[in-house]
Amino acid sequence: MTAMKGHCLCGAVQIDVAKHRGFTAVCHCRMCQRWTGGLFICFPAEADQVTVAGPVTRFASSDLAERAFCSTCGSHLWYRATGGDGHYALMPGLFDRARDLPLKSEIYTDRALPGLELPGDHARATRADYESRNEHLEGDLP
Amino acid sequence: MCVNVPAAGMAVTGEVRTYASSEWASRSFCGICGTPLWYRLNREGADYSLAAGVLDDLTGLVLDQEIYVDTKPAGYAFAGDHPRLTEAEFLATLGLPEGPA
Repeated sequence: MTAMKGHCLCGAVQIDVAKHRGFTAVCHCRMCQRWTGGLFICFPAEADQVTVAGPVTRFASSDLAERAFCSTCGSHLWYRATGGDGHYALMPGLFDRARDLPLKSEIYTDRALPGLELPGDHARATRADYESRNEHLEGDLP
Repeated sequence: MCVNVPAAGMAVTGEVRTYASSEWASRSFCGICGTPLWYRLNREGADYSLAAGVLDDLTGLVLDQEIYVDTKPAGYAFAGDHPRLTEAEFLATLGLPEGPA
């Protein structure tokens, strides 16, 4: 999938992605909703394909992951699990070329804020579905 | 996604950081975790466009409007039959001509 360059609203953080997995994914869990203000949408890319420069603040939102944002303008940059393969779940809004990535997955669908359930034929999972497949999770509240 | 709150209805404490995102408005976020808090015009007594996710209880609220739909990415869409305004249509509601993209 095509390489792309992105930046935050103020331009201080620049991100280069050499390769990514080619799709977006949405999460409606309570932590993602609170962090984003409404809709969490990301596209995954392997750690060695991503280069970051600029003033990044990382917040350890749980034992499992960090959420990063620009220290100057607050633009969200990524969600990243601390274990596993360390891939980045990047925010597509930073990248002009991420605009038309297809939506492939929506999780915690039963938690979606009013009006934010997304139509389409992508894969979906409720909170119960998703947590039954990921037993290390203990709910979606901090 | 935001909820409109008049200034008189807001009380704020904590680590608020503000970024002057344009000449006419600013965007505030938590300096510790990056949660967006609100968008607000630079006018005395302006309403807060509060980030919906910040609220503990959104019972009874409905998605009422979508703006700048002509710049929305094609990859996803919101359901519902609420009004959807393009940039030009939205600026017209404010009595403004279309600005630079």
